[in-house]
Amino acid sequence: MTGITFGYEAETTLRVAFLGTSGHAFRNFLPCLPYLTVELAALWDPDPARAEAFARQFGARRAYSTVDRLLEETAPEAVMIGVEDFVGEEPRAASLMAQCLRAGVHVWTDKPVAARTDTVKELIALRDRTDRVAAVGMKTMFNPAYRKARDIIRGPDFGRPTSFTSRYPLHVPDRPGRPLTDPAVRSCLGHIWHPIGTALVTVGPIRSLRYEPAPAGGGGVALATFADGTVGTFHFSAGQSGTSPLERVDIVGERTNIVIDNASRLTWYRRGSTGPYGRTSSYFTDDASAPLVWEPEMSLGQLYNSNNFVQGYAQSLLEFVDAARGVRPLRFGTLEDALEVLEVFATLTG
Amino acid sequence: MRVGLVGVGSHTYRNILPALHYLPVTLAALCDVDEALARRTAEEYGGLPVFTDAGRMYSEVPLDAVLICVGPRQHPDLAVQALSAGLHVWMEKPPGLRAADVEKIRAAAGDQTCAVGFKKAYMPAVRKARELVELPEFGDLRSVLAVYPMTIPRDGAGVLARGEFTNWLANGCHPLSLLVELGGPVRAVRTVRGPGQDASGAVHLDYANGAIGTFFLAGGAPPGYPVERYDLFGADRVVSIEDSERVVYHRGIPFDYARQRDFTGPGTETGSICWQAEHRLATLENTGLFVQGMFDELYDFCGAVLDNRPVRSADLDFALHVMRIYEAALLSDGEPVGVKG
Repeated sequence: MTGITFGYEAETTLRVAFLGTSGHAFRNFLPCLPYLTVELAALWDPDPARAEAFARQFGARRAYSTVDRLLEETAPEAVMIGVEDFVGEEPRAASLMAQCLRAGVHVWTDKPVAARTDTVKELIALRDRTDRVAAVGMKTMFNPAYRKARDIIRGPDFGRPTSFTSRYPLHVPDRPGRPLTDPAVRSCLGHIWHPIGTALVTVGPIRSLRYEPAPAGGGGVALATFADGTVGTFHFSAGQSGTSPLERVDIVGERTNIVIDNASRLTWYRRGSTGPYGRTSSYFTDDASAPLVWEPEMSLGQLYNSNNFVQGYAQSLLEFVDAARGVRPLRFGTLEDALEVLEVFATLTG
Repeated sequence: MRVGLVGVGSHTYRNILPALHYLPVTLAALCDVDEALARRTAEEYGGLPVFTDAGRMYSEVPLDAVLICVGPRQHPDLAVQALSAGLHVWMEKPPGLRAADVEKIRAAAGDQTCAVGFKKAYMPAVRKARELVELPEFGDLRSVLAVYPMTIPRDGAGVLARGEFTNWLANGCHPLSLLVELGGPVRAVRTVRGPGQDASGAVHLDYANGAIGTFFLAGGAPPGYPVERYDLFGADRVVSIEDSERVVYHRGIPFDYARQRDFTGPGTETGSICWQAEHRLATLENTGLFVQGMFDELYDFCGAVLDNRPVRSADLDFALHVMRIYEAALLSDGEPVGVKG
């Protein structure tokens, strides 16, 4: 990504409202607004004092404690949702998204947008009926390292992807069939978007999954087959140390592979050879086949090394704003992507 | 505390305003000579009062402190004006074009808090490195190596006389401030320049504590390259800071040259310890504001004001020393130049 337009440089702005005052909203969504060319018209939280405090902190024109009134009185063009609570079995985000779509407003919500695939299918039908943009904040689909991997995989020098491995400390409920209200199930629902989103954006949809739980720790290993035939493993490393980088991804093509460490360091081992085994005196290959490494520079006070850009939050919101303004359709973080994630979730927990 | 902000350019927009969300402050007013820019920014931050004259802002808006982020030509006068208005002052680096500018600010400071945004002095990696260097097992600091993409003008005396704002001041003060924070006061410097008007080269630092430092001026580094690296050498110990966020404490292993057959060593008391930011979690510690020290420098300033205590690192004495090193390195052409204490 190049060239961010700052809010104060924008010739036109999108009139948005923000629903929710979650920790992610404070740290990750609302701080992105200065880079989105939007005008924050209103902010909602069921607690009026909290809504007022967030509105004051982030410069929202008005604060509301009822969504209906916000939509009616401020008439936003788009709404962003950052809530963490549930209504019954479903995340509150699902009903809020439906409410906003019915009001004719474009909607972006943080994940999880829903717990059940049927709920997402209903949202897709509602989105199509109202002809609005409905986006899900699946940040890994916008992470620059994973997007770069996607480009390499689809480029001329990778061949077809053949295998995929992801390590991520997902806690999977110790037995299937627990209710959606079970804390272990909700924990899994909250985080499964990350490893599956990574797989979706790099290789593509998963068509089958076989899961083997670890004897302790809450994790396990899943063997996956992707729609294009790629095979993969998800190492749900729930027992790993809290001091470890959470994630490592390895994608193998045809005599080439990509490794992404710590969601930020991408190494592309291009097709090449170090020569005949046992007879080669140097590990240096020619420049054209040498491994390539990209990682963010961390010293400068720039955007690209801020975690909201390293992890893809800002890009997810930028994609939504572009779609809402009609610049281009939503490419990633669609409700169809959410459906893919929830199919895997249902397989693991159902 | 209630703060006003003078200067709402790109750096403020990206780094200062976002940091305020995590500080015990209420942003009360904005000031910039570009009124339209100030108004647009003020609207984003809830319709704050806007001024084009800092003096008017100080007289019309009740404030405890002001944050100044304009440029080294304006910082001295703006700081003195704010201090004279009875406000505590934090200003972005560089504090001026000359060390004398800092002396002028210091003369106006009185009992008020005045801090300079030398973010490198506040990086969590630097804080950790300092803690390690101060361990008894580290021994005395012997030498420090800094690598940072920098060039230094050949005509240093002319640069100072003409009041030029070069990259040696704009960004050279970053590693210089870190070298002071970790190594302490510097007695003298000696600059060796390579060819060219803006030269690569090295600045050798003679620390008051007897340590020796080298600031390698890595001109020619490409954009996007990890900008900086620091190594601090003690007694059989090394602390390294890589790319601002990775700290490695090298403790070595039992070593028998030519006979050693295991590179790991027994137990966990040998080998290197490494800390690095995790980049997958949507938390604070891995974002630029925190990794680079921008939050901590402002947090320290707020704490100094609210708790009526001194600034922990980058006060005016610190800033003055950094500026004196900056000037001495400019003036040196291979010979040692003393740095006033």
